[in-house]
Amino acid sequence: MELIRTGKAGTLESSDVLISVRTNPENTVEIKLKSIVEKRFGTHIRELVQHILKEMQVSSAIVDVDDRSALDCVIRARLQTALYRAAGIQKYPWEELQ
Amino acid sequence: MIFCFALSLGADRVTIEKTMSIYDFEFNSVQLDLFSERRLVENFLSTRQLKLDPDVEYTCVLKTGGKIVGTGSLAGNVLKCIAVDAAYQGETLTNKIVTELELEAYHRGIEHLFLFTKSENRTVFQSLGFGLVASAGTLTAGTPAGGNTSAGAAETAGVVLLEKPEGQIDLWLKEPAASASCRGEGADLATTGPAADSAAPGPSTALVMNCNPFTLGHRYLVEQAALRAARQPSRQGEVPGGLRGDPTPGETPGEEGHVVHLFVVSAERSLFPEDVRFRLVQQGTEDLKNVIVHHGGPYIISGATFPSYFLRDSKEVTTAHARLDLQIFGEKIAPALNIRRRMVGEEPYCPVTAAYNREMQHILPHYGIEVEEIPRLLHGGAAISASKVRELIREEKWEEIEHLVPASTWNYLTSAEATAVIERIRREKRRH
Repeated sequence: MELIRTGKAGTLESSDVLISVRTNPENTVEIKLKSIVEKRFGTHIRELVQHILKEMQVSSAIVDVDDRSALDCVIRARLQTALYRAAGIQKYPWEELQ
Repeated sequence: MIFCFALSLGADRVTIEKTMSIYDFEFNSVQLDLFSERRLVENFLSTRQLKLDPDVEYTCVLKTGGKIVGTGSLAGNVLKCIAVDAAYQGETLTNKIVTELELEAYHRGIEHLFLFTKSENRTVFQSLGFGLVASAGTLTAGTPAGGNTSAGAAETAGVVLLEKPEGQIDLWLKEPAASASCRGEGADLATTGPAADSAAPGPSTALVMNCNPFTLGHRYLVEQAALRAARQPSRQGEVPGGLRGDPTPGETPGEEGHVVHLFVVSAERSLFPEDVRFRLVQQGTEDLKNVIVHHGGPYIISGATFPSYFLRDSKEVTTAHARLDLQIFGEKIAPALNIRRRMVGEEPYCPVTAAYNREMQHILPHYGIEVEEIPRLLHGGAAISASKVRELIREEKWEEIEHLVPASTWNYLTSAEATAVIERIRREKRRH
């Protein structure tokens, strides 16, 4: 999947996460995480984001994650939505998404 | 609806109330052209000692039981006029408001956001993904000599500019730095590329202008800057100043000397559109080989760094904004381009610009930048200024205008392209 613009999804409400993805001129994946539970779950969230990016075949992106202690399924949904928005894809292949 | 569920289970009262308050808020966007709606927001803001700036384009309010408990606005790429009812603090209302504004901006295609706030609120917004562009507090930290600099810092403490995503300023700085090293080396201008990675640029001079439109007064200031810069050695220590013999009057500025960075204010808030202002500056300075024209971009006198330039603010607010703008210049922009001097024309008319120039004399020397104020070029006993030119356009005194602007600007003003702009100048009576 190739990103063509910035994609955002989510909110800053408690138990949610606001994710913003954009193209990375350096062609790598960079995750900028801010989380109120970073000490406890920071590593886990980074791994999860990396994992989802790999699944979606994204190899070049800057990902801003403003986390308000969202559950994994919420992070996954928000990140996938942000990525589709960034790629300009409006039809979601529901059956392929986990 | 979770609170209903809790109620039926007979959970204890405290929990119910707490849960209820979270689910009871609703968002409304404010119809800004409706006086009655606008006034409700203004009244709410006034209880927090704030006002609704005239340039806001989108305002939302957060209500509970019909009562406003929070509000926030968007003006271009700036989040502003954000306030929350003190009684509801701790309910993360600020998060809700910022989310709402951020998504509204996103739908408008704006991805780079700014936020101007008191420094005591800084951590709240930093936790929401905003990063610091500059703050008053860094003035002392960035001062090498230390010494008696606390006066300026103490007065300005209290205002910070934040941006999202964090660190955009560092990316932006790479652009002007790249073009500077191209020209500075006397290299082929067509080759852009990774010139920015080569040796640090030689010391340079900076000018910041709105040029609304470009006049002979601007031209004179740029010429003075170019001439003085050309007499400086391009690399420190290479040719000691003054040993190159007496500078001949009228000497053509060559590529050997300093470079002059001319920043044209980018904000689209002037009667002449940005692309026209920029083009007229480029055309009017084409012959000056050591002058590089840049877009001022979001960090030099923009709606984010210096909103008072475009709005009528109180003296205190204007001063605070001016200082912040100058601190960004001193702390971030000047080091990237090795700017050692900033030149500015004396300001006899506009009180806001005059105040800005005064602050410049105080602040920039802390960053090792020399400030030089140059008297205005006179014509018929009066200083040439762009506002004078606009006034003459209103009065249709074309024969006088011809003496105040260079040929390139004159050609534009008399072209068909300018008709709409001239029509606007006649219709609207405003400062810029």
